[in-house]
Amino acid sequence: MTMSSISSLNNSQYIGDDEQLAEKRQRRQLVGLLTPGAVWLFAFLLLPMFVLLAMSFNSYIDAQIINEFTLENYRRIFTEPVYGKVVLRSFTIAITVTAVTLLLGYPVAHFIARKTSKYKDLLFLALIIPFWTSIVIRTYAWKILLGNSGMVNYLLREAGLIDLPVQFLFSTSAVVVGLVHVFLPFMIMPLYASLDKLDPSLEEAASDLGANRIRTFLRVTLPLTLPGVAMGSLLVFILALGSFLTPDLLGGTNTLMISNVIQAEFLESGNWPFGGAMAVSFLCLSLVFIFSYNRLFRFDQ
Amino acid sequence: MLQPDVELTGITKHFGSVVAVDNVSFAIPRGDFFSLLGPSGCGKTTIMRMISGFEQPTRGTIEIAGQNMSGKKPYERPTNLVFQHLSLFPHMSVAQNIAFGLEMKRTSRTETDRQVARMLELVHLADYGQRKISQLSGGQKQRVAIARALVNAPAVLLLDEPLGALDLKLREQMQLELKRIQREVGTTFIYVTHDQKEAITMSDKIAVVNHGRIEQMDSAVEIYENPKTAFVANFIGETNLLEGNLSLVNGSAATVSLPGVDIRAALNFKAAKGTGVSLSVRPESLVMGQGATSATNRLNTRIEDIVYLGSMAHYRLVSQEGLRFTAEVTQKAMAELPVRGETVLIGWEPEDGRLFETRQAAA
Repeated sequence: MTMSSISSLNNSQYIGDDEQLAEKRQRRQLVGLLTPGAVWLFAFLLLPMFVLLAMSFNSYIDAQIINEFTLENYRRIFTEPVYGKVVLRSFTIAITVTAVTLLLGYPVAHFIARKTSKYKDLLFLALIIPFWTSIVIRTYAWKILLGNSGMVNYLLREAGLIDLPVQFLFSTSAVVVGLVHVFLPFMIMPLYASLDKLDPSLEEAASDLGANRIRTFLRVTLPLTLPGVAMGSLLVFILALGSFLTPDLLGGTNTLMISNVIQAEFLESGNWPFGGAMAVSFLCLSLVFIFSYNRLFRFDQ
Repeated sequence: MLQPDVELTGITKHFGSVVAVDNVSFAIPRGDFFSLLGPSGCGKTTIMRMISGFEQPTRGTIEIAGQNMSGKKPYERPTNLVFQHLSLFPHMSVAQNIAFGLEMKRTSRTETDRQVARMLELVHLADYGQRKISQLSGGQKQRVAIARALVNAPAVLLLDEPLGALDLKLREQMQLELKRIQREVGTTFIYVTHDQKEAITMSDKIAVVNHGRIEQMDSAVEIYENPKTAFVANFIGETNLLEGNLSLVNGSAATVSLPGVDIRAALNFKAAKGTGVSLSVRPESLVMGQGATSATNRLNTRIEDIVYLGSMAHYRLVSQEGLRFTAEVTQKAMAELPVRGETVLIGWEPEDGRLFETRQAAA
C-alpha cells in the first residue's frame, strides 16, 4: 500500500481529530473568558451569601452572637405577624409600582418605537439622562416637591384648592411615586425592544381588516409584545421589591419594606443572625416567585 | 361602462415638497383585474395606500362602490389589502388569521367557521386551518393572506406586489391561481407590480405609472402593441430605442435621420419635418442574415455578444454608425447566423418601428 492511499483511508480520522482539537480550543477560550467574572461573582456574591446563610443559624443572646446552631431566627420570621406584614407590604408596593410603570411606559415605548430615527436618538437620550444624577439626589428632589411646604402643596394652595397642606410624604403613595420615577426606564427599555421588532405592517393589516385602534392594540400589538411586557415587569418588580433607599427617604415607619427591616437588624439592632435569616428567607421567596413567573411566561422560548 | 367600482379623480399626493402622485384619474369597472405597473418609486404603492386609507390624498377624490372615501379610516373602507410581506399574524393559527376580519365585524361563531372553511377550500388549503403560520411554505402563506382579505367580501381587493418573495416557478403558479380566484369570486382586483410579465399575464387592464403619473392605461395587448410613449415601449418588454429627427414627412410615411443613417418609419401622429423623435423597434421585429437583404431598412452590424435565454437568444449588435441593437432569434435560426465578432446584416420594415415625439420642430 502506498503512502497516499493510507492517508486517504485515514482522512476521515484526521478530520475527526481536527474537529476535536477545534472543540478543545473553543472550550479553553470559553473558560478563559468566563473565569474573571466567575471569580468575581464567587468572591463577592456567593461567598457572602454562604456566610449569611451560616450566620442565620447562629444564636443571638444578650446582644451577643453565639456560634450555636438554632432555627429560632426562622421560627420568629414565620410566626411573628409583623414580618409577614412587611413581606406583604413589599409585594403590594412592588406590584403597584410594576403596574403603574407598565401603564405609563407602554405608550412612551410605542411612541419612541414608531418615531423616525432622528427623534428616536433624542428621545432615548431623554430616557437615559436621569441616570446621570444619583438616585439619592433625585429622591431628595421628591421630598422638596412633595413636602408640606413643597412646590405641589404651594401650587395647590395658590390655586385655592386646599387650605391646609396635604400630607404627601411618609406614605405608601409617596414611596410608589418615587419608585415609579426611578424604575420607569427599566420598563420602557424592554418594551421598546419588543415594539421596535414588531413589524408596523401587522398593525396596518389589523386596521385594514376592520380593527379600530383599541382592538388592533388588544389583538395584535399587545399579544406580540408580551415578551417585552413580561421582561420589563419582572425587572421592575425585582428592583422594586428589593428597594431600600426610596422607602427610607419618602416612607414612614408604616411603609417599611423588607430591605429596610433587614438593614435595621444589621446596623441598628446588631442582630446579624436574625437579619441573615430574613435575608435568606427573602431571597428564597424571590427565587420561588421568579421561577414560577418564568415558567408562566416561558422566557426560555 | 357599468357603474365603476373604484373611481379616482385628480388624485395628487405630496410628501413634503416631493410630488409622489400627480393628478391621477381612473375608473375600474366591477370585477376587473386592474394592474398598476411601474418602476419602484413611481408612486404606484402610494396610489394603493390612498385607496386602502393608509394615506390621505393631498387633492382629489376616491370613490369606492359609489361612496366617497375621504376622511375614512382603513377599517371603515370596503377594501382589503394583501400586503407586500403578507403580514400574517404570527401568534394566530391559519384559521384565526382568516377569521380576524369577521371577528372584527362580530360575525357569529358558526357563520365565521363556515366562511373560514369556504375560504380555505377556495385557496386549496382545506386541511391547514389549525396550522401555525410558521409551519407554512411561502406559497401557502400567500394563499392564507389572500383568504384573510377575501373572506371580508371587499368591494376591492388590493394586492401590493404579493408574489415578489416567491421563486419563479411558484410565482407563475400563483399568478394563474390568483386569476382563477379572481374569476371565481368576481371581486375587483387592483394589483400593484413592477413586473411587466406579471401584469400582462393577469390583467384586464394595465395602468403604466411613471413619476407619479399614468403614462398609458389600456389592455395588455394594446400596451404591448401600441405603446403611447417611449417610456411605455421601453418598460413593457424589451425594445431598441433610437433618437433622431424627422427629415422627410409624406403623410404617414416618414424618414428619420439617425446619426449617420436614414431610416424609414410609419408616422401615426401629426408632426412636421425637424421634429425630434424616438424610434422603437422590438427585438423580435429585427430580421438577421439572409432574410434581411430584402428589408426596407438595412444596417450592417457586428455581433458583440450572444445571450442565451433557453429557447431564444438575444444578439447584442453594434452598427458601423455606432447604433446599438438587440435582436431576438429562435434557437433554430441561430445555426444559420454568424458567430460573435463577425458582421451580420439586420433589417426591418417601416411599420415595425414606432415613433414617439420627444421635441417639437423648431418653427
